Amino acid sequence: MTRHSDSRLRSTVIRVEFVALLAALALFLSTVEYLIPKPVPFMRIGLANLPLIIGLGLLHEREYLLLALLKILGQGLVTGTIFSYIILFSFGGTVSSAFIMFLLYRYGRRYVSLVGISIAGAMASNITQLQLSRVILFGDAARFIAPPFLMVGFATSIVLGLFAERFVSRSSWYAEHAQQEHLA
Amino acid sequence: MRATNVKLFMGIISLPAILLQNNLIGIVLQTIYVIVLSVTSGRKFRVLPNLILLFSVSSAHLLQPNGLLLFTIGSFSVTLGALLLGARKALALIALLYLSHYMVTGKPQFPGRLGRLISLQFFYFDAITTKWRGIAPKRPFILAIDKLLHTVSEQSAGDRQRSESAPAMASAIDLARQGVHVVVLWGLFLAGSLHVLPVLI
Repeated sequence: MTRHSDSRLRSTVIRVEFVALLAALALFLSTVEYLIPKPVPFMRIGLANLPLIIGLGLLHEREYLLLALLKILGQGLVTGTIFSYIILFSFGGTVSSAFIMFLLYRYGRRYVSLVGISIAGAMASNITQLQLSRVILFGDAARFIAPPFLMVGFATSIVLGLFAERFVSRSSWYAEHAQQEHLA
Repeated sequence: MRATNVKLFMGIISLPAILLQNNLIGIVLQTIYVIVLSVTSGRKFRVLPNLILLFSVSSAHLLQPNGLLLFTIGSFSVTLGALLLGARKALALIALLYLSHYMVTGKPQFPGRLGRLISLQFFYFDAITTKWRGIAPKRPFILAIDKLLHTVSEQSAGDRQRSESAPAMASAIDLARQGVHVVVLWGLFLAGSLHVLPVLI
């Protein structure tokens, strides 16, 4: 009995460490993205969302939620925006996209590729952020920024989805962990 | 109180003084104060993003005319009330952003399980950035990331435990210094509320 609960505890610790590793990868990728020159100001590929996409095949519901939460808090701490209005945008965007992507992966994986999941996540995130900008920043004028914002989000999410597809098919690290998750 | 959390608590106590500020001169002074605090603590200040925020939020408020009509552009009316309201809101957002920057310069440690998880995340972040330097070649990027993840995954949590040390307690000077910032920010709020500062609208 004790040995059983000990091994369960150890397994939980290992899983939590794995989530922390993915969250750290999100932080690292956001700094990598910062170094990439942007063709349009404020245009981001959203590389930091890659761990959220690859995590779909590796994590359970709670772990996935924890990853989203750690990504928000970690980025907020690194950029110093954790106690500002920006964290609301980060929270709204990340949680809504994580929720939609998780649902799509869980119930529609057969019909939707990671590119489709990435697009759905980006649209959920952008729509939530537009609603927040309407309430917090611009009022009704937010409708003027909606078309370019959604178009840029659509284009960059395709790039990110393709990148995630390639990572999942080529990474031996991912294959190893996906197999462990499958066996568990 | 832990030395790492003094700025965090100072910021939390000062947040309402900025959020509740109704006086434009008051919010301008509070914004300048927190920007100076943030910059002197080593954070960067960039003019352009702040100007864009100030301009865009102020412009968005012009869609709802309010107060004295300044001029018209076609059928579009530019009113003083809407302009100043937008500017006040934008300045409050900028002030909160730089207060947030200042709050994290003390590298705050969160309590409980979440705090331990965040420090674990930063342990791995350090490991990733350190190991990334040793990864060669870095192209193709996907294979470099794959190699990086293999390397970091092998690192044991024991390394983390050994690297953690007990946090120092805040000195009386630290507490007094942060207390001064709280008094200044709340003082500016009171000066605005009690009309000690000039009222523009």
